[in-house]
Amino acid sequence: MSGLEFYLTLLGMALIAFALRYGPMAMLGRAHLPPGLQQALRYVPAATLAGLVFPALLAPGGRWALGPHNEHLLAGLAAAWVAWRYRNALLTILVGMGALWLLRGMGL
Amino acid sequence: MGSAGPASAFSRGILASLPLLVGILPFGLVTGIAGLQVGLSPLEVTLMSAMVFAGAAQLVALQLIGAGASALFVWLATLVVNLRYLMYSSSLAGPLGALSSRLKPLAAFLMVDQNFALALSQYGALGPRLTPWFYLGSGALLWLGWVGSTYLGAFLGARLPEAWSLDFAVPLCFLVLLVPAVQDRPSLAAALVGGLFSTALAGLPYRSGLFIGALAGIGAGVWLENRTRRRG
Repeated sequence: MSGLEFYLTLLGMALIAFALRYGPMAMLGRAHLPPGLQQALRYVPAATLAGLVFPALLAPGGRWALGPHNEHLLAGLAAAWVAWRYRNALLTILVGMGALWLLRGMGL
Repeated sequence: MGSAGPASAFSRGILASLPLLVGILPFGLVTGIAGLQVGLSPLEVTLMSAMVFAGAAQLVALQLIGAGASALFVWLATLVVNLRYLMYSSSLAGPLGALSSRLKPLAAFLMVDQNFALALSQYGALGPRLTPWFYLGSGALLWLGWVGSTYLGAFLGARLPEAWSLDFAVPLCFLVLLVPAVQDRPSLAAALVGGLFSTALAGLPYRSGLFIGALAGIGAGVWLENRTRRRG
């Protein structure tokens, strides 16, 4: 991506992020989000975030890899347990990375 | 609730957000490193954090930029990953309603998961006059932490060896956000369906499997919620 293309991309990203944050707040009193859309929006975080996590764990090389030889999956499961149990970002990242290095070091 | 001016509400927002920096800083470091890995300069990736201020969207955008995707796909990803702000913005319209029309855009710009949740939880105690200032204090600190940690990540990133597989920290950051987003059976269904579809479609160009997977996941969540409600 060239310099100019990057800055145009960045400008568009900034505008999109701002419009989503400002739009409903600015329009409130005049318009409400329809109930069906509100209901759908509640599931956006779970669905999109899982879409970002699952492929990195279940198919790290671009193909399904289910089993004990997939160190990304094992490290990710350890990190998921820590994230669920402690709700701590730093600890989750440390455990996940540590588990990956450990598994690699053991040559599994 | 002690002294009750906007200035003290602003500083209380800053204080209440200090512990949240622990969650922001590693995410920012990873974003800075990811920016370097796709060929951006430390200044460029820091500028992105300052202007966009949306961690998940930035990490996806960086992956797309690294994969050679066009601006259109990066914008589409930014839109999808940030859709939740529509929900946050409409929930915050009431608590932030006392702000002047000049400060409202600033408040919107500073909106992230953390100060959204914090401001809503404090609204009962602070009321409509002070909540906006509490929220702005929180947002200002989170923004500074985000921009600073991105720069630090980009600054350090060039010195970290590739053998450390630091790119694996990116899905771990998303995992940290995913876990609290799964609150009940419909949101669990949304996550499972969204995640498995995205994995199955991971080979599609420009990560378009992510969008299709997200739509399938949202559909699954809505379907299960409606079915449960009908059965009472």
